Amino acid sequence: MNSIYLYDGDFSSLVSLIVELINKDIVPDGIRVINNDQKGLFDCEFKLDTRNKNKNIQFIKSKLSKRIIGSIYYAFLSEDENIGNTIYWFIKYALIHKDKIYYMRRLDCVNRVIKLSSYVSRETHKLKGFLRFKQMKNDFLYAVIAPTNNVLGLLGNHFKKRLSGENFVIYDQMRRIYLIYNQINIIYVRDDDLVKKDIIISRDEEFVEDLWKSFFKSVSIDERENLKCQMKFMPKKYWANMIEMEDKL
Amino acid sequence: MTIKEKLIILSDSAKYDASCSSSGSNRSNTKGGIGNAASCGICHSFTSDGRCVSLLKILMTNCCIFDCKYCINRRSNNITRAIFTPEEVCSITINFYRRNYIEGLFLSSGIIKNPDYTMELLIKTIYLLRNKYKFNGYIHAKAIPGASNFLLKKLGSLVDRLSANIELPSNNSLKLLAPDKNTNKINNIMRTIKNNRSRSFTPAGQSTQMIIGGSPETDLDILGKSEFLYNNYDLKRVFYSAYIPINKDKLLPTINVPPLVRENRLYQADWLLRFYGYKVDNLLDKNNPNFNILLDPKADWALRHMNEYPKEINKASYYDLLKIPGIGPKSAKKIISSRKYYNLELNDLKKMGISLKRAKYFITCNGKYFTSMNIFNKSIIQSNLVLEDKTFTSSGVQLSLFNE
Ligand code: SF4
Repeated sequence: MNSIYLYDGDFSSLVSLIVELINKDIVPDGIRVINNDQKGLFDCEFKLDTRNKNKNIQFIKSKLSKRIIGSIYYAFLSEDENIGNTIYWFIKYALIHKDKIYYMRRLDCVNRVIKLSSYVSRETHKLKGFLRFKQMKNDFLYAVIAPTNNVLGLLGNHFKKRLSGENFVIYDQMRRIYLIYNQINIIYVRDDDLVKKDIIISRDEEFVEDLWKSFFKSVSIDERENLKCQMKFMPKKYWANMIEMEDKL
Repeated sequence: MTIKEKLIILSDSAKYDASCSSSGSNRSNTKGGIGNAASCGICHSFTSDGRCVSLLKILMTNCCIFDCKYCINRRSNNITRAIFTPEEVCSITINFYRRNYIEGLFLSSGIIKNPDYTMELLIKTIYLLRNKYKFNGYIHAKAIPGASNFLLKKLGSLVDRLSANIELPSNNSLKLLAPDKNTNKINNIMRTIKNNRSRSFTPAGQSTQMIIGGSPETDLDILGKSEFLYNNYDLKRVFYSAYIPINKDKLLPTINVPPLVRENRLYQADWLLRFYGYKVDNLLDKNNPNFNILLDPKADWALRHMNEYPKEINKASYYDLLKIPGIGPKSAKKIISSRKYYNLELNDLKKMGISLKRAKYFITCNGKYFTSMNIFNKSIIQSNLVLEDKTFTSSGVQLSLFNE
């Protein structure tokens, strides 16, 4: 039998579960989100008591540096299949070796966490540039993204600082979640729970988009054309939501 | 003229300026304001020639009283002229910025009426953008040579970066091709910027641009000039821009394809000056005044100094590690921190994400070479490196090689 431990799906539940497991000296065969349909024939699922969640989180905060917690969080956002187990082992070693862990890349869990977290931060950085807002009728900005990693929250924080005086909505097509900012707070709403009658593009939008497309076309230098290079920096998977590229797909 | 027509004309004439980066400033948003400047640059799109689009790069006007030979806007060219109003520039900037098309504004200009008048126009526009529109995003402005110091200082206090293009690597070429400009005026701008720089005066510093291949200077002349500028005026960047034949003029060279590979080699060498501790006279000398177009400057240097290699990864100093082709400051630091804990093997380097494509020929790990030592031979390595050089395989410019 494989012992599989379940958590709620959010980062703090995962970290708390891992602390419980480490305290109880349990080595899990798998760590997964509740209600996912990956249950195998020989899996035996367990849930642990979550009463100590706050205490467990405090414990991790007091033992591990900001840098390590940041790496774990970013790796978590990759939604990699085995992320639960990877983070379990990473935390186990990090509690012993602290920041030296970054140089122990011979350990698989260390290598994975570093790779996944840098993948997440690369994609976030790309989308900080490639995301496109449209002006909506009811005075808010609206963007659609389809990221591989779960970077919606990181992007929300970036735009909250930059466009603090605006209302904006970012929709993650892959996870079907809306991030909504109302000049004060950020909230998340699932696709099924949102009434979409307000999502109507403003009439002037076409004019500004047309200006942008003209600008984009006019700054390219034909003598230097290099489409391969363009694609390398701006992978095709982002084009569908970029107005200057959508018609090139 | 519609705003769209103006935008097309005035961005078309601005696009030959190579500077694009928006990094190095850290302006935060203010209450009721819009925008901030991210300290690491963000690219918002990439043009079909693979360059990053980060700023709304436009000219205030393409009217010009000067007649620089290489420039599309020169007085003697018969082209459609346009001029933006300050409000128009602000409105496009804000509309683009809110939609996250751009990171900020790059405002340059042809010289209309006289330098001071032009400079005042730039100041008026940027003042409006900062104060009426409360724009806190990134602004890079071009200083107009010959304008008064008073105006230069005023403009500097409004923007993140100021720059003045040196355009040509020598005074002689400048005299010949840009007869209305002069080196003293440009130096004066650079000195003023350097002496006044602070958190509220061009926090992101200054940059400049040189045109490559429009005049007869060697790579040694060009890079020597860059080194001088870095040392004397604290420049953040020198941009190199392959000469693109736009105008016909008997003073200009006749070429069909811009010298993109040469431009690329100069960028690679410039990188070595700024981050690797190389000096120009390490790289080039009077007998060897130009880079080998087939190899990147570091690999070329390594091949000319084979007796210094292979370097042992577990022992080499930081600066020696930096001399290994394919290993940069980031990788060198990783190696140094990691080898405290265990002796590194080739595989460990791979795991750290260090590319061994070129490095493997120049290193040993615990005394072991990646393959038989017979390979450690100048001509064998050279031919392998030339084949792998990305400048040719990925830039699509193989053909221009034979035209240079
Ligand atoms: S000053 Fe020279 S380079 Fe600048 S716009 Fe006028 S003609 Fe062109």
